[in-house]
Amino acid sequence: MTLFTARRKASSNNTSAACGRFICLFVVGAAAAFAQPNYAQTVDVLEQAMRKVTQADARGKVMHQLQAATVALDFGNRPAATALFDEALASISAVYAQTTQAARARSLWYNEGSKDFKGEPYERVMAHYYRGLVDMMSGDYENARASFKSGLMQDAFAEEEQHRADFALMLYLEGWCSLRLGAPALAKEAFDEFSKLRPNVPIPAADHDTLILVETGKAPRKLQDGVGGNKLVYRQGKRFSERAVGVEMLGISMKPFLIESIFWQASTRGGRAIDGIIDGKLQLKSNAEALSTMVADVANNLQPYAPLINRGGGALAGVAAVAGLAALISSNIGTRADSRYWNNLPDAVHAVTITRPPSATDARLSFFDETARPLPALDRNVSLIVDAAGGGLLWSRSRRATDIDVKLGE
Amino acid sequence: MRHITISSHKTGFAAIAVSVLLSACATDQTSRVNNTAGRPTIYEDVKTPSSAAQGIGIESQDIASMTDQMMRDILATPGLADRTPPPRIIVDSAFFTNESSSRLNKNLITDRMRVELTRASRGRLIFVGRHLANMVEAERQLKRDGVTDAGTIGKTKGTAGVDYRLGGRIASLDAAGKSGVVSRYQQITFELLDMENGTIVWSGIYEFKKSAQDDIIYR
Repeated sequence: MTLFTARRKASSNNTSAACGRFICLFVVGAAAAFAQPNYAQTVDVLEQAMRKVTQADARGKVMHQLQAATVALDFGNRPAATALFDEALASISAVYAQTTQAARARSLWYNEGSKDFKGEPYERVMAHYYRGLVDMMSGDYENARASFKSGLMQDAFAEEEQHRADFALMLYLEGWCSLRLGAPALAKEAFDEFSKLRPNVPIPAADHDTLILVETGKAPRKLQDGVGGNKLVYRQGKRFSERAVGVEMLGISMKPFLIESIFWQASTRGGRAIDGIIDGKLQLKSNAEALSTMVADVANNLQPYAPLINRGGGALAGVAAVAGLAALISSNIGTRADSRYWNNLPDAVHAVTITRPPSATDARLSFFDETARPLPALDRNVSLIVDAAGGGLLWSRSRRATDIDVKLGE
Repeated sequence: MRHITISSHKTGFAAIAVSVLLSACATDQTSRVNNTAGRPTIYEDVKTPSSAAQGIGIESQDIASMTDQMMRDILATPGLADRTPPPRIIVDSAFFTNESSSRLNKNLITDRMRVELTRASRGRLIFVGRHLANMVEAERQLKRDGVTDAGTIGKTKGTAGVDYRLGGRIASLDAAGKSGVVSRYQQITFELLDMENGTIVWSGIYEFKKSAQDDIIYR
């Protein structure tokens, strides 16, 4: 706390009281999760993430909350992660009907990015995934299941019918929660759905008590494409090669199964309703440009004949003004798609369930590229979380939540 | 000629004015400042939907309505509130399961129900606080160890056994359409079980369905 106080004094005056509250939560949790040599570095990272949240306007608040929550969870600070995910999900779950922000984002003069960020469906699903994960860490499998079910709902809006509600990860975790809650019938329902999507992945056995969940890679990227950036396209994260995971626990080796590709989920959604509006704006922009060019040409062509036209100079100036106005309208129509994204999501999630050896407290994770070549630089030991009911959870990432393709918060 | 010049100027000024207005309207979003005025804290009625944010999950008005309804129903059930001696009942969330897609602290429902029942029944129903059993056991141990005296109630061999206990389930059915309309049907069942025979002596159901459509920019 001394370090926290000193840093607070040295920090910018812009840091609000709310920021202080969250940073305090961060530091308390981080101290428990990290060894001493990493403490100062950890505080810096968490402070930076939280500062982005407190400095963000309403448009970007949720995005920064999600990113900071992911950092907090990765750095072992569950209380801060919980608070941030709750705040973000309150906005994500709220129905934006007849709000001024939404109306503005639809209007002619604003780009799509002027709307409050709620994320695309795959990002909303992942917000529910992490909230459920935090619940599972606390042993609250009922609310975890509720989160996973709600997450699946967010995936129900895909334009392409075959990809609606196909987020297998949510079904797997929903089934796992039901199994842990002693509701095998409900678990079977979820696992039956899951098996339709991932027929090669075995479902957990009734006596399994521990879930191993490992995230690999970096977040899918959103890019603007098309005329003036009017199209939203997805690209896989850059600069990572891990594709598979190995787990060793008390001499027992396991290979978690690939349960979900987040990039695949992002890129198979199909068109969005807002794309139609942006296309319409683009068409209007194009028409205005054409009108401007045409009217300007008319004015130029008529210029030599101005003395022959009664008061022709004024008329020609008016025509030129119309051309200028059309050009101005064209240049000010907002047609850019919203390419902001949750930048510290993983690329994929792998999972396996086991009956935990009684003395197991941690496991060694190793990672492999697509040719099964080991990537020893990513190896790590991860502690097992065991809840009051004896359920075990081992969750980790191949990379820190700060290892992203763009600067945190952009 | 002079007249023509003035007309051109007027047109030019008009064009500039329009340009300035349009530019003002379309200033780049990153340079705009959100100058929305704040709003002082206000108390809101827990039985009405929130003015700030609404979704399709369980909200305060749902909890208030369902617990009020269940309380009235229990009190009006023959053989419960008119029994002599008054029955002992446990109302807590231990056997109240949430199978729905709404994250919820179940204690919000069972606590309100127990408190309202306790107040309204005026001793016709006796509620056992099994959720605070640890606290009771610790105090009893202090008395039996002689650390404290027996109080004014006196000692009993054991704590109160119960006649009935509340169980129940929260379930939901979600639906989503391509048009962005989402709906959630919530069904909350309450059952009071005879803790000796296992029979259900009272049951109640509360159900509602909410639907909403998010703005097109989020679909």
